[in-house]
Amino acid sequence: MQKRSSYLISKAFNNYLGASVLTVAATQVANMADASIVGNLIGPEGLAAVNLSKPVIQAIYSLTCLYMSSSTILAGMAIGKGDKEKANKLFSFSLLVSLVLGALIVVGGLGAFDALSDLLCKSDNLRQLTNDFLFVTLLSTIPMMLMYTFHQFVTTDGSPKLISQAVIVGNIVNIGLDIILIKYANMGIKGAAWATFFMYVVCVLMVLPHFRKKGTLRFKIPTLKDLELEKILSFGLPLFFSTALLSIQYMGNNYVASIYLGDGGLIALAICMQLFSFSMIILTGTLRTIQPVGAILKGLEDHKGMKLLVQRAYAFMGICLVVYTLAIVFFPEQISALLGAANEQTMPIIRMALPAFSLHIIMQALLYNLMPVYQFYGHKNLALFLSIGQTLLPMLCFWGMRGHWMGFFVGQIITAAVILVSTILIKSKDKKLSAIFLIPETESNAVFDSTIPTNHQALGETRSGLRDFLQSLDLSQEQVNHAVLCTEELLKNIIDHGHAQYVDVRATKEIISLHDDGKPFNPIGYVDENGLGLKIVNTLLSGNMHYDYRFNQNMVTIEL
Amino acid sequence: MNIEINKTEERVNVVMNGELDTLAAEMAEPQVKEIEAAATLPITIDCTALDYISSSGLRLLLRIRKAANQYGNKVTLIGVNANIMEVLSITHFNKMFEIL
Repeated sequence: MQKRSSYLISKAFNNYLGASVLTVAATQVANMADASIVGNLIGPEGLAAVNLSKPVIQAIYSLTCLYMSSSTILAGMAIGKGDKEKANKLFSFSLLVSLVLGALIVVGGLGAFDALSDLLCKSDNLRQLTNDFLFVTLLSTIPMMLMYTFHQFVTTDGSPKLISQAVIVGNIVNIGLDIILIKYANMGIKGAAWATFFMYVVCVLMVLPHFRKKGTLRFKIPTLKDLELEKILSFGLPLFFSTALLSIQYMGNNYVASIYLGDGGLIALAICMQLFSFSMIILTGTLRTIQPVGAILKGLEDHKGMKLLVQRAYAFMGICLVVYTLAIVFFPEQISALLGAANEQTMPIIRMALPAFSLHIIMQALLYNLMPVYQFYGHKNLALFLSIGQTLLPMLCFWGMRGHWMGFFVGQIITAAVILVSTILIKSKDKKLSAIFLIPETESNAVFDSTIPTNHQALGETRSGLRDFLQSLDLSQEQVNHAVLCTEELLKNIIDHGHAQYVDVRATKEIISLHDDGKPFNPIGYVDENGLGLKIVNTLLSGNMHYDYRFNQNMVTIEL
Repeated sequence: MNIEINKTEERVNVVMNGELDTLAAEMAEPQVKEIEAAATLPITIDCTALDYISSSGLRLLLRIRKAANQYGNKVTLIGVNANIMEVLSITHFNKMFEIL
């Protein structure tokens, strides 16, 4: 029997990764361009007013993380299990919450506008600008929350490239409108805020065509019983904390740098934070790949596939991080010059800060991406600890070590040590889990797992291997015969007509799944010259098969 | 999979042994040609030792039937087990062949 290879998982990974990295990179570049336009056209006060309103945007984003990311993961797992109904309900729940919560934030924010403005802005000079920007930002809440919801769900629903396109077009609209509204319509900072508003609207409108496709998510009003709210919240908490505590981390870092290191330290920290933001392209790009692909693999209980996915993800991150860190360590002058901070006073401290801080960046990415894997397998506390520990411990150690730049790295090492000890303890109770990631080892006699090339020789070998495997399970001879025959018929269609290179054939006592990398092709509906195969499959398995096209792959699931 | 062909003066006796899946059906091409050429006589296919058949195997039976029909001859299947019978019924092959 051919062994399971990482070919199809790698293809799915690459398909998502390219799109996710592009989406994050486009957002980062656009943010920088946006800031530069506001700075140039309105002046530094404009930039400061935008910055003062950031906590509001960050708070709204954190709130969205609480229900939306978790609903997406749960929907991905439901899709993997073939439970489209549940995925539809989770999608609709997220949309409804975005609308209701968004409306509440708008009403509440406008109602308590003066208090909010007092809280955010202490400077009389900046008050009017901040108020102008904040007013439109609050009005943007609903389109912003809808954008996040649509983007996460449409990615999981199989169209990551559409999201990249939407984000790129949305950001171009934002930058274009920035110039038009600020410079030509003389709207000042309100123009910048309205440009962002329309970016959200464009980003939402651009993903709507996804739902014209057959088999995509649909709006289906859920009942509270359908939703497992507790699960949604427990999945959402880690992401909520890691985003909500980010502001505290930023403020804390600035405070420590200002009291122990002075202005030079603050400048070095600003460069570190820029580099940290930029590393998000690697970190978030990988996270947004593991989340949708991993959720579906978890739904299929494909632990081997999950391991292959994680290996692929860490190999990618490892290479990127090494290159990125080497660039930081060897070219600190050039990097500082690029950010406009290279001068004789600042360079010594920057040279000290960057190598130490780059170790923090590496650890941040490596540890952060454990979070979704822990969530998939129910290790809620580990995920929660990671989200809080990684956000606060580096800052606290930076403080505790009186502004020593290795403080960030020490904080990460403490987080890693706690995780390591916890996983060793968990593994000692359940030996069947893998080290650190805690992915269950699949017993080789409990699953048939094979990647085959698309030829009849491999089909013949797979059929007899599958028959032997199914016979070893607690199934009736009739069930075995039906399953083997139908699998052969479907595989034959895939091999002869699917234009695929490889097929992953996986079977457990509950399901048989066939995943191939051909063009969209439903082997269940394919009528051959006499319709014989189709007749056999439809008669023996009617209603117990699902077809789906996801990750650029055809996925057929047969329930036994 | 093994296909034996015995020609007598009155009929062609074919014995199919093993599992007639897609790969086996492809490999059996020379024997099928031989049976098609011998279809001037009625054909009996002994399926007693045939454990499995897929649509590719059925297509092979169809070809034999078509060749026999050209000469007005019948194809008879004997010793069909329950598994194979189920597949023949689903595809209505039980109505196209004489099954004893």
